[in-house]
Amino acid sequence: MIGFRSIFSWAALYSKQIALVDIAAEFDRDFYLASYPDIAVAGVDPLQHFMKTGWKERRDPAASFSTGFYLDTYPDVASAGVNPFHHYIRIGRRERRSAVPGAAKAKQNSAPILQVVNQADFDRDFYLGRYPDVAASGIDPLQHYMTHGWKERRDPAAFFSTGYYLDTYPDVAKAGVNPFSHFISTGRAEGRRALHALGQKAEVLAQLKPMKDRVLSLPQPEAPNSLLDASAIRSAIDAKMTSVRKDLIIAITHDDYANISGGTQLSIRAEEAAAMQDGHCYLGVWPTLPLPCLSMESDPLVDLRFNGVLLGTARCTTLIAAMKACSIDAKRVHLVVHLLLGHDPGKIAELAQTLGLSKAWYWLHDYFGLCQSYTLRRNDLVYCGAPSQNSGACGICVYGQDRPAHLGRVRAVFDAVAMTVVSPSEAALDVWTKGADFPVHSTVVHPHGDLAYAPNPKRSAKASAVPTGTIRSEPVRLAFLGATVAHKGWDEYLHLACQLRGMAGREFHYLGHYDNVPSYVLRTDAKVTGGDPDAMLRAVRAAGIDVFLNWSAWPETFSYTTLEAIAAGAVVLTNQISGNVAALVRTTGKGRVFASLDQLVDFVRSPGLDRLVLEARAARAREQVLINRSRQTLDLIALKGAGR
Amino acid sequence: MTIHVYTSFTFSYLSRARVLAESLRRHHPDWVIWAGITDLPPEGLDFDMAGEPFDRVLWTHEIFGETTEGWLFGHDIVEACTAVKGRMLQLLLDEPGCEQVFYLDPDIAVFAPLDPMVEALRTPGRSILLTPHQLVPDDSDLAIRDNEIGSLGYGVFNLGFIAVRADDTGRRFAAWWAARLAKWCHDDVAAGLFTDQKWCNLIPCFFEGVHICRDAGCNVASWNLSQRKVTITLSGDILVNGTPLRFYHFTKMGPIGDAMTERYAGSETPVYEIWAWYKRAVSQAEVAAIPSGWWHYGRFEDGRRIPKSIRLLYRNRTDLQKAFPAPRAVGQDSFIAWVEANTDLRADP
Repeated sequence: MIGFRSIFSWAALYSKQIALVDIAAEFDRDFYLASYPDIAVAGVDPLQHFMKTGWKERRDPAASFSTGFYLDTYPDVASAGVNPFHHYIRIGRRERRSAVPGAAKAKQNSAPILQVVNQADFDRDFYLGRYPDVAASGIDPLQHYMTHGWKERRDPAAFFSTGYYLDTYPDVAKAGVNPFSHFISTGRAEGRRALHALGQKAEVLAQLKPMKDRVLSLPQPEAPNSLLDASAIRSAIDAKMTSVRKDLIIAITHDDYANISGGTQLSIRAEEAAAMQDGHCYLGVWPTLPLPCLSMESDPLVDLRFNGVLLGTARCTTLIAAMKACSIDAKRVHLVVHLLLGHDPGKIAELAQTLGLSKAWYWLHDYFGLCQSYTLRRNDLVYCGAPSQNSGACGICVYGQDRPAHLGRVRAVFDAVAMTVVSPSEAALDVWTKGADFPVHSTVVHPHGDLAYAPNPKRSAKASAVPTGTIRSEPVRLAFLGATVAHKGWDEYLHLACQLRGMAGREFHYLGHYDNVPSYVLRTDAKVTGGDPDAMLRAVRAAGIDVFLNWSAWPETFSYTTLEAIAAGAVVLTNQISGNVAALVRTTGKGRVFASLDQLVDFVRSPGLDRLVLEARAARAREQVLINRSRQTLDLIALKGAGR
Repeated sequence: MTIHVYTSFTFSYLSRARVLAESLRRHHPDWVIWAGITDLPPEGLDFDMAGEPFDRVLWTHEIFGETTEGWLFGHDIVEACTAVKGRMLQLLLDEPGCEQVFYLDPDIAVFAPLDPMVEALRTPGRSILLTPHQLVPDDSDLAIRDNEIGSLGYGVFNLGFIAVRADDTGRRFAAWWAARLAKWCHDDVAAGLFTDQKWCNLIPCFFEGVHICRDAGCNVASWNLSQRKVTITLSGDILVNGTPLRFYHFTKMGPIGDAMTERYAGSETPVYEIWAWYKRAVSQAEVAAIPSGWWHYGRFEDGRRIPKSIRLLYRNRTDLQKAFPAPRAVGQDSFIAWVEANTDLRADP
């Protein structure tokens, strides 16, 4: 006789066997293993795992069925406690129930999509800030993401990476469903990750390409209509060098400093202006083809600007021949190497030797002399310290393979003449000295500018030596200044602003001429030009900026913006590796230097920032800070001719 | 005295094996690097050893002669490439002047000299050097399941690496290993087998002179990242728990490997940088002439893929092995003709 217990157990077993047979027929073993690496690694049978615990963990048995979605969409199934995939196979499919969110989407048009990804999940401000083209088009950002954006791997919020989700979960990619919808409806509950643990840095790593591939992918510029010949260059120079009292400065630069905005260009423009003001001649030489490395051609084209006037384009050898033919005394020629980017150092060395120069100047505007990664960020991510070219770190760096050849070529310039290395800061010289083994004649630190303090002429009688008032009357205005690029710390600034937006007493600003600024950051246009070098200083003052957040990812050689922020009465928050930024903060006492981003975020949240800003506001009322801008190499060269 | 080092692969893994060999050459220019290849080159590939970073090549068909086809047929690609390791080890130990033999998986790259391991094997009384998957216990259930339980199922020591001294013990071990792998190099975890690796759980029981390498810089991989912190100093040294990274095992390149790496590497960049370098290096070493998924022994002579089910049938039936010594052949009296006439099994298109 079969007892009740036995019949019950048999029935249960029989039902399990039916479920197993039904599910086995549609279960996608490969999909399951690919989607859940832990199962693959554990070596358990994937079907058994799904039957036993997988569905309870809301794991999907195939790309065509979302367990979490099914349970969430059909509470009758969830409350019955049955295997939802089995329910779908036996009953749900007949009843035309949806197996995946995408199916619902296909049937019900676009409106239900918006229910899956609701307004709270989607970050409109983030999307518009990250993608100015969407903002410019006037399309509703959520609609854009749902229809096109996700297919273009755009991100709907700071916490979700569309590309990462698709790459990490092949089942989602294969199913063709909107990855953000998938995450919100089922992925999150299944424990799937929305973002790589490295965040944006993972994308940087994934996109790294060897230099030769990067150069090959650059757009090829149109060939110039005509090239200067040696006699044209020679006659242009000889015509101005008539006076025996004139010297000629040949400046090797990386771009047309007169028309491109940037700190380095600004300093070169100042040098050119100083030379011409003193009655000397100034020849700017830069590569026609802008490159992220040294020239790969044996005789590259260069563009020439003489005494502020564009001469045209010539081959390097033509320039050398022209200089040889010029009737100039070598003692009156001064070679200043500002940047070698895009040049052939061998040709620069040849120029120096042809002219019979015994010495020259080499500026540390960046660290390109030490590595193609001119910010010394290994793999464009982490400050590396310019270790030995044979080090393990260089071995795994995308710039490492080319570094020995790069250093060998740069050395040619140092071998050709007695070189004086000019650094705009002690901090930059320290980095250079540790990393370089070129023959150097001497070194000198010559800042692009320094600060001078004076009593504030507009000081009111009430201005106090000690901080007064409270921060509540006026929020703390934190700003990012200048180029919105990763190595200047733009990503970290956005991270902070995004995290703290809406916090009482904090206001986030951007001052500069870049457009990719989200709406939760208040944008003020400010563009420094040769004719208006104080534009940023004025803008910082006018906007009443209290804090400049300069989270530079490399040891900045100088940082005009830091100088300008301090001169405008702001304090600067930075990190330990920011080079001259941290050095300026330490020497002036105008700000704080943090060991980690977490420390910075904590500080910005804390009353400590309020106290610091109150002190800064009091100082602003007491004193006026001025910037004395340098004349660059003109301050250093012992000119034979006109003089100042 | 010479140190020989070998790896075992098919042409699909040639790019990885090249990266390994180049990394070995950088740190050990005097070692003899062997390529153990269980494959034949695809049409259009001019495999010229003069242009390869290996010194010598060992072809499986040269080692196993006429029995190669029948024996390999009972193995999938992973089983085949691991089954040959024992016999190759025996041959290399008998090379004139051989002092030690190292084996490294093709998906490993060497970042610093392996001198401490050479020295460890020079210590009197030591003949076999092994690297465990893990050196310290894990803390979380997830990591215990991924790592410790994984080791219990798949083998305690990772056989991406082994080093053997050319002495009596080393040769006795090689002979035993080769014999076991000839018959039972199977991926059958339920039966207690996992290719060449699970057998090596028995090494400390059967042989004297076994040294377990406890250097955290050796065989770093996703299965031990939970307890190994990789850092890079400003002097350019890559360190693991403060000791130099010697070799990294780039297991499962792709979404699964990435997911397991991310699970334990967290938000520190060095491990991802090392992986990014490896992916670039492998990509640069790729050969366009090798079709995706190429394995000469993976298909019948008419190009249809051999499914594992047919391999298992052949492996378990000595009568079929005797009747069809060339089981990849096709045609009237071929093994596949017999299979399709007498079973429900079919070759994959």
